[in-house]
Amino acid sequence: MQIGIDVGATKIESVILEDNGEESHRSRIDCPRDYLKIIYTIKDIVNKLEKEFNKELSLGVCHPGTHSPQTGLVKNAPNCNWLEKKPFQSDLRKILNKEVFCENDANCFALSEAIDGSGKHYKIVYGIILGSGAGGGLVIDKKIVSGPNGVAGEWGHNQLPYLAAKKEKFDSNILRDAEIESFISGLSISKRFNKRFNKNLKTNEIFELNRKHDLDAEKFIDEFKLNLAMSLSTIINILDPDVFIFGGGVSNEIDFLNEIESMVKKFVIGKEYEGVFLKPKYGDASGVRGAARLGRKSIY
Amino acid sequence: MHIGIDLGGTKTECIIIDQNGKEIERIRKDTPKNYNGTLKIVCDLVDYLENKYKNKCSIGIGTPGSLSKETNLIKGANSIWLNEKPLKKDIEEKLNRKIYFENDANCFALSEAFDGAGNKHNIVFGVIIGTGVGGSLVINKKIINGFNNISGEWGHNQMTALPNDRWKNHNCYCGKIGCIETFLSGPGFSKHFFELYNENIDAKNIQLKANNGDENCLEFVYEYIDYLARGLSQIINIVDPDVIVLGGGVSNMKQIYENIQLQLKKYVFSDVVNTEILKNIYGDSSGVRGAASLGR
Repeated sequence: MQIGIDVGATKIESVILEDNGEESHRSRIDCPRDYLKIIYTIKDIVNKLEKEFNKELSLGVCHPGTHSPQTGLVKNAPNCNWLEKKPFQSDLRKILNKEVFCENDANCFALSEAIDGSGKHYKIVYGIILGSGAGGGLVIDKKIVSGPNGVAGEWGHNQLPYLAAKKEKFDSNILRDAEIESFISGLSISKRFNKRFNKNLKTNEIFELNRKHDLDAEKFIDEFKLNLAMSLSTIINILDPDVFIFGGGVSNEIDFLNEIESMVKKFVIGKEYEGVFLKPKYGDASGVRGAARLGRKSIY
Repeated sequence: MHIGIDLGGTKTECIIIDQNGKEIERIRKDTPKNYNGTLKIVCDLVDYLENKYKNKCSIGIGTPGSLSKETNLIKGANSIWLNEKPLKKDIEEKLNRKIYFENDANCFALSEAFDGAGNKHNIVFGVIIGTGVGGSLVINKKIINGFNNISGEWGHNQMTALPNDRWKNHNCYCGKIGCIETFLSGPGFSKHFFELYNENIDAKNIQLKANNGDENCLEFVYEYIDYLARGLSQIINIVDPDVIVLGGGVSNMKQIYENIQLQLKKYVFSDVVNTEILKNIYGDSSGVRGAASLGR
Protein backbone atom coordinates (compact mmCIF):
# COMPACT_ATOMS: atom_id res chain seq x y z
CA MET A 1 0.00 0.00 0.00
CA GLN A 2 1.54 3.29 -1.10
CA ILE A 3 0.47 6.91 -1.38
CA GLY A 4 1.03 8.70 -4.68
CA ILE A 5 0.61 12.44 -5.12
CA ASP A 6 0.71 14.28 -8.43
CA VAL A 7 1.41 18.01 -8.14
CA GLY A 8 0.32 19.54 -11.44
CA ALA A 9 0.00 23.09 -12.70
CA THR A 10 -3.71 23.18 -11.93
CA LYS A 11 -4.50 20.32 -9.51
CA ILE A 12 -3.10 18.08 -6.83
CA GLU A 13 -4.19 14.49 -7.21
CA SER A 14 -3.67 11.69 -4.71
CA VAL A 15 -4.19 7.92 -4.68
CA ILE A 16 -3.54 4.96 -2.47
CA LEU A 17 -2.38 2.08 -4.57
CA GLU A 18 -2.30 -1.57 -3.54
CA ASP A 19 0.58 -3.74 -4.75
CA ASN A 20 -1.77 -5.43 -7.23
CA GLY A 21 -2.60 -2.07 -8.82
CA GLU A 22 -6.01 -1.50 -7.22
CA GLU A 23 -6.81 1.97 -5.99
CA SER A 24 -8.35 2.16 -2.53
CA HIS A 25 -8.57 5.94 -2.50
CA ARG A 26 -8.50 8.78 -5.00
CA SER A 27 -9.03 12.50 -4.62
CA ARG A 28 -8.39 15.66 -6.56
CA ILE A 29 -8.16 19.29 -5.43
CA ASP A 30 -7.13 22.57 -7.03
CA CYS A 31 -3.45 23.38 -6.77
CA PRO A 32 -2.89 26.44 -4.52
CA ARG A 33 -0.03 27.69 -6.76
CA ASP A 34 1.98 28.79 -3.77
CA TYR A 35 5.00 26.89 -2.53
CA LEU A 36 4.26 26.83 1.20
CA LYS A 37 0.57 26.14 0.70
CA ILE A 38 1.47 23.18 -1.51
CA ILE A 39 3.77 21.76 1.17
CA TYR A 40 1.04 22.05 3.83
CA THR A 41 -1.63 20.65 1.52
CA ILE A 42 0.51 17.56 0.94
CA LYS A 43 1.12 17.23 4.67
CA ASP A 44 -2.64 17.35 5.34
CA ILE A 45 -3.37 14.75 2.66
CA VAL A 46 -0.75 12.34 3.98
CA ASN A 47 -1.72 12.78 7.63
CA LYS A 48 -5.39 12.27 6.82
CA LEU A 49 -4.77 9.13 4.75
CA GLU A 50 -2.43 7.58 7.30
CA LYS A 51 -4.97 8.22 10.04
CA GLU A 52 -7.78 6.80 7.93
CA PHE A 53 -5.89 3.60 7.16
CA ASN A 54 -4.24 3.63 10.55
CA LYS A 55 -0.70 2.87 9.41
CA GLU A 56 2.39 4.54 8.03
CA LEU A 57 2.45 4.48 4.23
CA SER A 58 5.30 5.08 1.81
CA LEU A 59 4.96 8.29 -0.18
CA GLY A 60 5.88 9.18 -3.75
CA VAL A 61 5.35 12.64 -5.21
CA CYS A 62 5.54 13.57 -8.88
CA HIS A 63 5.83 17.11 -10.14
CA PRO A 64 6.95 19.06 -13.21
CA GLY A 65 10.71 19.53 -13.53
CA THR A 66 13.31 17.59 -11.62
CA HIS A 67 15.58 17.95 -8.59
CA SER A 68 19.07 18.97 -9.61
CA PRO A 69 21.52 16.34 -8.36
CA GLN A 70 23.98 19.12 -7.40
CA THR A 71 21.85 21.63 -5.56
CA GLY A 72 18.82 19.55 -4.58
CA LEU A 73 16.62 22.33 -5.96
CA VAL A 74 13.86 21.90 -8.52
CA LYS A 75 14.81 22.89 -12.07
CA ASN A 76 13.18 22.76 -15.53
CA ALA A 77 9.66 23.50 -14.30
CA PRO A 78 8.83 26.65 -16.28
CA ASN A 79 5.05 26.07 -16.15
CA CYS A 80 5.09 25.85 -12.33
CA ASN A 81 7.44 28.64 -11.40
CA TRP A 82 6.38 28.43 -7.75
CA LEU A 83 8.40 25.19 -7.59
CA GLU A 84 11.48 26.50 -9.42
CA LYS A 85 14.66 26.61 -7.32
CA LYS A 86 12.88 25.22 -4.25
CA PRO A 87 14.21 22.32 -2.11
CA PHE A 88 10.87 20.55 -2.53
CA GLN A 89 11.95 17.03 -1.60
CA SER A 90 13.95 18.01 1.47
CA ASP A 91 11.17 20.32 2.73
CA LEU A 92 8.63 17.51 2.38
CA ARG A 93 10.93 15.12 4.21
CA LYS A 94 11.37 17.61 7.04
CA ILE A 95 7.72 18.46 7.52
CA LEU A 96 6.52 14.86 7.28
CA ASN A 97 9.51 13.47 9.12
CA LYS A 98 9.76 10.48 6.78
CA GLU A 99 11.20 9.37 3.45
CA VAL A 100 9.57 11.05 0.46
CA PHE A 101 10.35 9.97 -3.12
CA CYS A 102 10.13 12.78 -5.64
CA GLU A 103 10.24 12.31 -9.39
CA ASN A 104 9.42 14.09 -12.63
CA ASP A 105 5.77 13.61 -13.63
CA ALA A 106 6.49 12.34 -17.15
CA ASN A 107 8.88 9.75 -15.69
CA CYS A 108 6.09 8.59 -13.34
CA PHE A 109 3.70 8.35 -16.26
CA ALA A 110 6.18 6.08 -18.07
CA LEU A 111 6.84 4.04 -14.91
CA SER A 112 3.15 3.43 -14.27
CA GLU A 113 2.53 2.34 -17.84
CA ALA A 114 5.63 0.11 -17.81
CA ILE A 115 4.67 -1.64 -14.57
CA ASP A 116 1.04 -2.52 -15.21
CA GLY A 117 -0.16 -0.37 -18.10
CA SER A 118 0.08 -0.61 -21.89
CA GLY A 119 3.84 -1.14 -21.75
CA LYS A 120 3.97 -3.94 -19.23
CA HIS A 121 5.23 -6.54 -21.69
CA TYR A 122 8.07 -4.39 -22.96
CA LYS A 123 11.64 -3.86 -21.79
CA ILE A 124 12.36 -0.33 -23.02
CA VAL A 125 9.40 2.01 -22.62
CA TYR A 126 9.48 5.59 -23.85
CA GLY A 127 6.59 7.60 -22.44
CA ILE A 128 5.62 10.61 -24.52
CA ILE A 129 3.67 13.44 -22.94
CA LEU A 130 2.07 15.72 -25.48
CA GLY A 131 0.11 18.20 -23.44
CA SER A 132 0.66 21.88 -22.98
CA GLY A 133 4.35 21.03 -23.38
CA ALA A 134 6.21 18.14 -25.02
CA GLY A 135 8.12 15.90 -22.64
CA GLY A 136 8.59 12.30 -21.80
CA GLY A 137 10.22 9.67 -19.66
CA LEU A 138 12.39 6.62 -20.15
CA VAL A 139 11.86 3.37 -18.26
CA ILE A 140 14.08 0.32 -18.77
CA ASP A 141 13.30 -2.97 -17.02
CA LYS A 142 10.61 -1.20 -14.92
CA LYS A 143 13.14 1.32 -13.63
CA ILE A 144 13.18 5.04 -14.37
CA VAL A 145 16.31 6.20 -16.18
CA SER A 146 16.95 9.74 -15.05
CA GLY A 147 20.63 10.14 -15.85
CA PRO A 148 23.25 12.47 -14.38
CA ASN A 149 21.42 15.59 -15.58
CA GLY A 150 17.88 14.38 -14.97
CA VAL A 151 16.95 15.15 -18.58
CA ALA A 152 16.29 11.70 -20.08
CA GLY A 153 12.98 12.06 -21.92
CA GLU A 154 13.40 15.73 -22.77
CA TRP A 155 13.24 15.05 -26.51
CA GLY A 156 10.97 18.10 -26.84
CA HIS A 157 13.93 20.35 -26.20
CA ASN A 158 15.96 19.17 -29.14
CA GLN A 159 15.70 21.23 -32.28
CA LEU A 160 13.05 20.31 -34.79
CA PRO A 161 14.85 18.22 -37.42
CA TYR A 162 16.25 20.44 -40.13
CA LEU A 163 14.09 19.17 -42.97
CA ALA A 164 11.02 20.27 -41.12
CA ALA A 165 12.62 23.44 -39.80
CA LYS A 166 13.37 24.83 -43.22
CA LYS A 167 9.74 24.49 -44.23
CA GLU A 168 8.45 26.09 -41.07
CA LYS A 169 8.74 29.75 -40.23
CA PHE A 170 10.47 30.58 -36.98
CA ASP A 171 12.84 33.18 -35.69
CA SER A 172 15.93 31.05 -35.71
CA ASN A 173 17.89 33.58 -33.70
CA ILE A 174 16.16 32.25 -30.62
CA LEU A 175 17.23 28.66 -30.07
CA ARG A 176 14.12 27.89 -28.03
CA ASP A 177 11.83 28.87 -30.90
CA ALA A 178 13.39 26.14 -33.02
CA GLU A 179 12.71 23.44 -30.43
CA ILE A 180 10.39 20.55 -31.12
CA GLU A 181 8.16 21.71 -28.27
CA SER A 182 7.56 25.02 -30.04
CA PHE A 183 5.94 23.17 -32.92
CA ILE A 184 4.02 20.23 -31.57
CA SER A 185 2.95 21.02 -27.99
CA GLY A 186 -0.64 21.96 -27.27
CA LEU A 187 0.20 25.57 -26.49
CA SER A 188 2.22 26.02 -29.66
CA ILE A 189 -0.39 24.35 -31.87
CA SER A 190 -3.11 26.82 -30.92
CA LYS A 191 -0.69 29.75 -30.95
CA ARG A 192 0.63 28.96 -34.42
CA PHE A 193 -2.76 28.09 -35.88
CA ASN A 194 -4.46 31.21 -34.56
CA LYS A 195 -1.66 33.45 -35.74
CA ARG A 196 -1.63 31.94 -39.20
CA PHE A 197 -5.37 31.87 -39.84
CA ASN A 198 -6.31 34.81 -37.62
CA LYS A 199 -8.60 32.73 -35.42
CA ASN A 200 -9.04 32.27 -31.72
CA LEU A 201 -9.36 28.53 -31.19
CA LYS A 202 -8.25 26.08 -28.54
CA THR A 203 -6.06 23.11 -29.48
CA ASN A 204 -8.85 20.56 -29.13
CA GLU A 205 -11.09 22.71 -31.34
CA ILE A 206 -8.46 22.67 -34.06
CA PHE A 207 -8.34 18.86 -33.93
CA GLU A 208 -12.15 18.83 -34.00
CA LEU A 209 -12.12 21.01 -37.13
CA ASN A 210 -9.61 18.63 -38.69
CA ARG A 211 -11.97 15.72 -38.11
CA LYS A 212 -14.70 17.75 -39.83
CA HIS A 213 -12.37 18.20 -42.82
CA ASP A 214 -11.94 21.95 -42.48
CA LEU A 215 -9.33 22.72 -45.15
CA ASP A 216 -7.14 25.03 -43.04
CA ALA A 217 -7.18 22.69 -40.06
CA GLU A 218 -6.50 19.65 -42.24
CA LYS A 219 -3.49 21.30 -43.81
CA PHE A 220 -2.21 22.41 -40.44
CA ILE A 221 -2.65 19.02 -38.81
CA ASP A 222 -0.93 17.35 -41.80
CA GLU A 223 2.09 19.49 -41.05
CA PHE A 224 1.79 18.60 -37.39
CA LYS A 225 1.87 14.91 -38.30
CA LEU A 226 5.03 15.39 -40.33
CA ASN A 227 6.74 17.33 -37.53
CA LEU A 228 5.75 14.72 -34.97
CA ALA A 229 6.96 11.83 -37.15
CA MET A 230 10.32 13.50 -37.77
CA SER A 231 10.77 14.28 -34.11
CA LEU A 232 9.96 10.73 -33.07
CA SER A 233 12.46 9.42 -35.60
CA THR A 234 15.23 11.23 -33.71
CA ILE A 235 14.39 9.20 -30.61
CA ILE A 236 14.32 6.00 -32.66
CA ASN A 237 17.68 6.62 -34.32
CA ILE A 238 19.28 7.13 -30.91
CA LEU A 239 17.44 4.68 -28.69
CA ASP A 240 14.97 2.57 -30.70
CA PRO A 241 12.70 1.81 -27.73
CA ASP A 242 10.41 -1.23 -27.69
CA VAL A 243 7.27 0.82 -27.24
CA PHE A 244 6.10 4.43 -27.31
CA ILE A 245 3.17 5.37 -25.10
CA PHE A 246 1.40 8.63 -25.87
CA GLY A 247 -0.15 10.52 -22.98
CA GLY A 248 -1.31 14.09 -22.39
CA GLY A 249 -4.11 16.24 -23.78
CA VAL A 250 -2.85 16.47 -27.36
CA SER A 251 -2.26 12.71 -27.49
CA ASN A 252 -5.89 12.21 -26.50
CA GLU A 253 -6.86 14.10 -29.66
CA ILE A 254 -4.62 11.99 -31.87
CA ASP A 255 -6.59 9.31 -33.70
CA PHE A 256 -3.93 8.74 -36.34
CA LEU A 257 -1.10 6.94 -34.52
CA ASN A 258 -0.93 4.29 -37.28
CA GLU A 259 -0.37 7.00 -39.84
CA ILE A 260 2.43 8.53 -37.74
CA GLU A 261 4.05 5.12 -37.43
CA SER A 262 4.22 4.63 -41.18
CA MET A 263 5.48 8.19 -41.70
CA VAL A 264 8.29 7.59 -39.22
CA LYS A 265 9.73 4.94 -41.57
CA LYS A 266 10.84 7.59 -44.02
CA PHE A 267 13.11 9.26 -41.48
CA VAL A 268 14.58 6.25 -39.69
CA ILE A 269 17.95 4.95 -40.83
CA GLY A 270 17.57 2.00 -43.18
CA LYS A 271 13.99 3.16 -43.97
CA GLU A 272 12.64 0.13 -42.17
CA TYR A 273 10.71 0.46 -38.97
CA GLU A 274 8.30 -1.61 -37.03
CA GLY A 275 7.17 0.17 -33.92
CA VAL A 276 4.64 -0.21 -31.21
CA PHE A 277 2.72 3.01 -30.64
CA LEU A 278 0.17 2.79 -27.85
CA LYS A 279 -2.19 4.92 -25.82
CA PRO A 280 -1.81 4.69 -22.02
CA LYS A 281 -3.97 2.20 -20.16
CA TYR A 282 -4.48 4.54 -17.22
CA GLY A 283 -4.63 7.78 -19.20
CA ASP A 284 -4.19 10.94 -17.17
CA ALA A 285 -4.14 8.91 -13.96
CA SER A 286 -0.84 7.28 -14.85
CA GLY A 287 1.27 10.06 -13.33
CA VAL A 288 -0.15 9.71 -9.85
CA ARG A 289 -0.08 5.90 -10.06
CA GLY A 290 3.58 6.04 -11.07
CA ALA A 291 4.27 8.34 -8.12
CA ALA A 292 2.75 5.77 -5.78
CA ARG A 293 5.01 3.12 -7.33
CA LEU A 294 8.14 5.09 -6.38
CA GLY A 295 8.02 3.68 -2.85
CA ARG A 296 7.33 0.13 -4.03
CA LYS A 297 8.88 -2.87 -2.37
CA SER A 298 7.50 -5.45 -4.79
CA ILE A 299 9.39 -6.48 -7.90
CA TYR A 300 7.36 -6.32 -11.09
CA MET B 1 40.36 -18.92 -27.62
CA HIS B 2 38.33 -16.21 -29.32
CA ILE B 3 38.84 -14.42 -32.60
CA GLY B 4 37.43 -10.96 -33.20
CA ILE B 5 37.34 -9.21 -36.58
CA ASP B 6 36.43 -5.57 -37.08
CA LEU B 7 35.42 -4.72 -40.66
CA GLY B 8 36.18 -1.00 -40.75
CA GLY B 9 35.67 1.36 -43.64
CA THR B 10 39.39 1.60 -44.33
CA LYS B 11 41.05 -1.01 -42.08
CA THR B 12 40.17 -4.58 -41.26
CA GLU B 13 41.51 -5.57 -37.86
CA CYS B 14 41.68 -8.97 -36.27
CA ILE B 15 42.75 -10.19 -32.83
CA ILE B 16 42.88 -13.50 -31.05
CA ILE B 17 42.42 -13.48 -27.26
CA ASP B 18 42.58 -16.20 -24.62
CA GLN B 19 39.94 -17.09 -22.01
CA ASN B 20 40.99 -14.21 -19.77
CA GLY B 21 40.77 -11.60 -22.50
CA LYS B 22 44.53 -11.37 -22.93
CA GLU B 23 45.55 -10.41 -26.44
CA ILE B 24 47.73 -13.02 -28.18
CA GLU B 25 48.07 -11.69 -31.69
CA ARG B 26 46.79 -8.79 -33.73
CA ILE B 27 46.64 -8.37 -37.51
CA ARG B 28 45.76 -5.23 -39.43
CA LYS B 29 44.98 -5.10 -43.16
CA ASP B 30 43.50 -2.70 -45.67
CA THR B 31 39.80 -3.28 -46.20
CA PRO B 32 38.96 -4.68 -49.63
CA LYS B 33 36.19 -2.38 -50.82
CA ASN B 34 33.99 -5.05 -52.35
CA TYR B 35 31.80 -7.82 -51.02
CA ASN B 36 33.66 -10.92 -52.18
CA GLY B 37 36.95 -9.49 -51.00
CA THR B 38 35.42 -8.93 -47.57
CA LEU B 39 34.25 -12.55 -47.35
CA LYS B 40 37.67 -13.77 -48.43
CA ILE B 41 39.65 -11.68 -45.95
CA VAL B 42 37.50 -12.91 -43.05
CA CYS B 43 37.98 -16.56 -43.98
CA ASP B 44 41.70 -16.14 -44.63
CA LEU B 45 42.26 -14.50 -41.24
CA VAL B 46 40.34 -17.22 -39.41
CA ASP B 47 42.15 -20.02 -41.27
CA TYR B 48 45.53 -18.45 -40.63
CA LEU B 49 44.99 -17.95 -36.87
CA GLU B 50 43.36 -21.31 -36.27
CA ASN B 51 46.15 -23.14 -38.10
CA LYS B 52 48.81 -21.21 -36.24
CA TYR B 53 47.35 -21.77 -32.76
CA LYS B 54 45.83 -25.20 -33.50
CA ASN B 55 42.60 -24.23 -31.81
CA LYS B 56 39.00 -23.97 -32.98
CA CYS B 57 37.94 -20.52 -31.80
CA SER B 58 34.70 -18.63 -31.40
CA ILE B 59 34.33 -15.96 -34.07
CA GLY B 60 32.92 -12.51 -33.44
CA ILE B 61 32.50 -10.03 -36.28
CA GLY B 62 31.94 -6.31 -35.93
CA THR B 63 30.54 -4.58 -39.02
CA PRO B 64 29.11 -1.22 -39.92
CA GLY B 65 25.32 -1.15 -40.22
CA SER B 66 23.08 -3.84 -38.85
CA LEU B 67 21.13 -6.90 -39.93
CA SER B 68 17.56 -6.23 -40.95
CA LYS B 69 15.16 -8.23 -38.83
CA GLU B 70 12.95 -8.80 -41.86
CA THR B 71 15.44 -9.89 -44.48
CA ASN B 72 18.66 -10.69 -42.57
CA LEU B 73 20.53 -8.48 -45.04
CA ILE B 74 22.89 -5.69 -43.94
CA LYS B 75 21.31 -2.24 -43.83
CA GLY B 76 22.53 1.24 -43.06
CA ALA B 77 26.26 0.55 -43.53
CA ASN B 78 28.48 3.34 -44.77
CA SER B 79 30.67 0.60 -46.30
CA ILE B 80 28.06 0.55 -49.00
CA TRP B 81 29.34 -2.65 -50.65
CA LEU B 82 27.96 -4.55 -47.65
CA ASN B 83 24.41 -3.17 -47.86
CA GLU B 84 21.69 -5.58 -48.98
CA LYS B 85 24.10 -8.52 -48.59
CA PRO B 86 23.58 -11.61 -46.37
CA LEU B 87 27.01 -11.17 -44.77
CA LYS B 88 26.41 -13.23 -41.65
CA LYS B 89 24.87 -16.15 -43.53
CA ASP B 90 27.63 -16.16 -46.15
CA ILE B 91 30.42 -16.14 -43.56
CA GLU B 92 28.72 -18.90 -41.59
CA GLU B 93 28.43 -21.01 -44.75
CA LYS B 94 32.06 -20.48 -45.69
CA LEU B 95 33.37 -21.22 -42.20
CA ASN B 96 30.79 -23.94 -41.67
CA ARG B 97 29.80 -22.82 -38.14
CA LYS B 98 27.76 -20.24 -36.23
CA ILE B 99 29.39 -16.88 -35.59
CA TYR B 100 28.68 -13.88 -33.37
CA PHE B 101 27.76 -10.83 -35.36
CA GLU B 102 27.35 -7.31 -34.07
CA ASN B 103 27.43 -3.70 -35.19
CA ASP B 104 30.98 -2.31 -34.91
CA ALA B 105 29.93 0.62 -32.75
CA ASN B 106 28.20 -1.82 -30.41
CA CYS B 107 31.46 -3.78 -30.13
CA PHE B 108 33.32 -0.57 -29.37
CA ALA B 109 30.87 0.50 -26.66
CA LEU B 110 30.77 -2.97 -25.13
CA SER B 111 34.54 -3.10 -24.87
CA GLU B 112 34.75 0.38 -23.33
CA ALA B 113 31.87 -0.30 -20.93
CA PHE B 114 33.37 -3.62 -19.88
CA ASP B 115 36.92 -2.67 -18.99
CA GLY B 116 37.54 0.65 -20.73
CA ALA B 117 36.71 4.30 -20.09
CA GLY B 118 33.11 3.61 -19.10
CA ASN B 119 33.70 0.70 -16.74
CA LYS B 120 32.44 2.55 -13.65
CA HIS B 121 29.13 3.60 -15.14
CA ASN B 122 25.75 1.97 -15.76
CA ILE B 123 24.64 3.79 -18.87
CA VAL B 124 27.39 4.14 -21.43
CA PHE B 125 26.86 5.69 -24.84
CA GLY B 126 29.72 4.86 -27.18
CA VAL B 127 30.20 7.30 -30.03
CA ILE B 128 32.25 6.67 -33.15
CA ILE B 129 33.44 9.67 -35.11
CA GLY B 130 35.57 8.24 -37.89
CA THR B 131 34.87 7.45 -41.53
CA GLY B 132 31.24 7.48 -40.47
CA VAL B 133 29.37 8.53 -37.37
CA GLY B 134 27.71 5.85 -35.28
CA GLY B 135 27.20 4.83 -31.74
CA SER B 136 25.81 2.35 -29.33
CA LEU B 137 24.06 2.20 -26.02
CA VAL B 138 25.27 -0.19 -23.33
CA ILE B 139 23.30 -0.47 -20.10
CA ASN B 140 24.66 -2.54 -17.22
CA LYS B 141 27.31 -4.03 -19.57
CA LYS B 142 24.69 -5.24 -22.04
CA ILE B 143 24.27 -3.95 -25.57
CA ILE B 144 20.86 -2.38 -26.23
CA ASN B 145 20.07 -3.28 -29.83
CA GLY B 146 16.63 -1.75 -29.94
CA PHE B 147 13.36 -3.04 -31.32
CA ASN B 148 14.60 -2.56 -34.91
CA ASN B 149 18.35 -3.06 -34.37
CA ILE B 150 19.03 0.64 -34.84
CA SER B 151 19.81 1.99 -31.36
CA GLY B 152 22.79 4.30 -31.44
CA GLU B 153 22.42 5.57 -35.00
CA TRP B 154 22.42 9.21 -33.90
CA GLY B 155 24.59 10.08 -36.93
CA HIS B 156 21.52 10.05 -39.11
CA ASN B 157 19.52 12.56 -37.17
CA GLN B 158 19.66 16.08 -38.53
CA MET B 159 22.28 18.47 -37.26
CA THR B 160 20.89 21.30 -35.14
CA ALA B 161 20.93 24.45 -37.28
CA LEU B 162 21.69 28.00 -36.16
CA PRO B 163 21.32 31.15 -38.25
CA ASN B 164 24.99 32.11 -38.48
CA ASP B 165 26.34 28.69 -39.32
CA ARG B 166 29.23 28.68 -41.77
CA TRP B 167 29.01 24.98 -42.55
CA LYS B 168 26.61 23.95 -45.30
CA ASN B 169 24.16 21.07 -45.37
CA HIS B 170 25.04 18.16 -47.61
CA ASN B 171 23.16 15.18 -48.92
CA CYS B 172 23.85 12.01 -46.98
CA TYR B 173 24.15 8.57 -48.58
CA CYS B 174 21.15 7.55 -46.44
CA GLY B 175 18.88 9.76 -48.53
CA LYS B 176 18.37 12.60 -46.07
CA ILE B 177 19.91 16.06 -46.01
CA GLY B 178 22.12 17.53 -43.30
CA CYS B 179 22.65 14.36 -41.29
CA ILE B 180 24.97 14.70 -38.29
CA GLU B 181 27.34 12.29 -40.04
CA THR B 182 27.88 14.72 -42.91
CA PHE B 183 29.21 17.24 -40.36
CA LEU B 184 31.09 15.16 -37.81
CA SER B 185 32.69 12.30 -39.77
CA GLY B 186 36.32 12.60 -40.84
CA PRO B 187 35.39 13.06 -44.52
CA GLY B 188 32.69 15.59 -43.55
CA PHE B 189 35.24 17.47 -41.49
CA SER B 190 37.71 17.86 -44.35
CA LYS B 191 34.95 18.54 -46.90
CA HIS B 192 33.70 21.51 -44.93
CA PHE B 193 37.26 22.72 -44.46
CA PHE B 194 37.72 22.63 -48.21
CA GLU B 195 34.54 24.62 -48.76
CA LEU B 196 35.56 27.31 -46.31
CA TYR B 197 39.28 27.60 -47.00
CA ASN B 198 39.62 26.03 -50.44
CA GLU B 199 42.38 23.77 -49.18
CA ASN B 200 42.18 20.03 -49.62
CA ILE B 201 43.58 18.32 -46.50
CA ASP B 202 42.27 15.42 -44.47
CA ALA B 203 40.91 15.50 -40.93
CA LYS B 204 44.13 14.24 -39.38
CA ASN B 205 46.27 16.95 -40.95
CA ILE B 206 43.81 19.71 -40.04
CA GLN B 207 44.21 18.59 -36.43
CA LEU B 208 47.99 18.54 -36.77
CA LYS B 209 48.04 22.05 -38.18
CA ALA B 210 45.67 23.25 -35.45
CA ASN B 211 47.99 21.83 -32.81
CA ASN B 212 50.85 23.71 -34.42
CA GLY B 213 48.96 26.98 -34.11
CA ASP B 214 47.51 27.47 -37.60
CA GLU B 215 44.74 30.00 -37.01
CA ASN B 216 42.29 28.86 -39.67
CA CYS B 217 42.64 25.27 -38.58
CA LEU B 218 42.24 26.13 -34.91
CA GLU B 219 39.13 28.21 -35.53
CA PHE B 220 37.75 25.39 -37.63
CA VAL B 221 38.46 22.83 -34.90
CA TYR B 222 36.57 24.94 -32.36
CA GLU B 223 33.65 25.19 -34.77
CA TYR B 224 33.73 21.42 -35.11
CA ILE B 225 33.52 21.03 -31.34
CA ASP B 226 30.44 23.25 -31.29
CA TYR B 227 28.78 21.02 -33.90
CA LEU B 228 29.82 17.95 -31.91
CA ALA B 229 28.17 19.42 -28.81
CA ARG B 230 24.94 19.97 -30.76
CA GLY B 231 24.93 16.33 -31.83
CA LEU B 232 25.78 14.94 -28.39
CA SER B 233 23.18 17.17 -26.70
CA GLN B 234 20.48 15.42 -28.74
CA ILE B 235 21.59 12.14 -27.19
CA ILE B 236 21.68 13.64 -23.70
CA ASN B 237 18.21 15.17 -23.99
CA ILE B 238 16.75 11.83 -25.02
CA VAL B 239 18.68 9.20 -23.01
CA ASP B 240 20.88 11.16 -20.57
CA PRO B 241 23.69 8.56 -20.36
CA ASP B 242 26.15 8.60 -17.43
CA VAL B 243 29.09 8.80 -19.77
CA ILE B 244 29.74 9.25 -23.48
CA VAL B 245 32.91 7.53 -24.70
CA LEU B 246 34.34 8.83 -27.97
CA GLY B 247 36.13 6.66 -30.49
CA GLY B 248 37.14 6.72 -34.15
CA GLY B 249 39.85 8.77 -35.84
CA VAL B 250 38.45 12.22 -35.06
CA SER B 251 38.20 11.44 -31.34
CA ASN B 252 41.97 11.92 -31.10
CA MET B 253 41.39 15.68 -31.29
CA LYS B 254 42.59 16.79 -27.86
CA GLN B 255 40.72 20.13 -27.97
CA ILE B 256 37.42 18.23 -27.73
CA TYR B 257 37.98 17.20 -24.14
CA GLU B 258 39.09 20.66 -23.05
CA ASN B 259 36.14 22.52 -24.57
CA ILE B 260 33.16 20.26 -25.02
CA GLN B 261 31.56 20.83 -21.59
CA LEU B 262 31.28 24.56 -22.18
CA GLN B 263 29.61 24.02 -25.54
CA LEU B 264 27.25 21.31 -24.26
CA LYS B 265 25.81 23.77 -21.75
CA LYS B 266 24.38 25.78 -24.62
CA TYR B 267 22.31 22.90 -25.95
CA VAL B 268 21.45 20.51 -23.12
CA PHE B 269 18.14 21.18 -21.34
CA SER B 270 19.79 21.63 -17.95
CA ASP B 271 21.59 24.34 -16.01
CA VAL B 272 24.61 22.15 -15.41
CA VAL B 273 25.88 19.30 -17.56
CA ASN B 274 27.28 16.41 -15.56
CA THR B 275 27.70 14.00 -18.43
CA GLU B 276 31.30 12.90 -18.69
CA ILE B 277 32.71 13.01 -22.20
CA LEU B 278 35.68 10.67 -22.23
CA LYS B 279 38.21 9.45 -24.70
CA ASN B 280 38.30 5.71 -25.21
CA ILE B 281 41.02 3.66 -23.53
CA TYR B 282 41.61 0.95 -26.09
CA GLY B 283 41.71 3.28 -29.08
CA ASP B 284 41.23 1.70 -32.45
CA SER B 285 41.34 -1.75 -30.93
CA SER B 286 38.19 -1.29 -28.85
CA GLY B 287 35.96 -2.47 -31.68
CA VAL B 288 37.94 -5.59 -32.34
CA ARG B 289 38.26 -6.39 -28.61
CA GLY B 290 34.49 -6.05 -28.28
CA ALA B 291 33.98 -8.34 -31.28
CA ALA B 292 36.21 -11.00 -29.76
CA SER B 293 34.43 -10.60 -26.40
CA LEU B 294 31.10 -11.51 -27.99
CA GLY B 295 32.09 -15.17 -27.77
CA ARG B 296 33.38 -15.04 -24.19
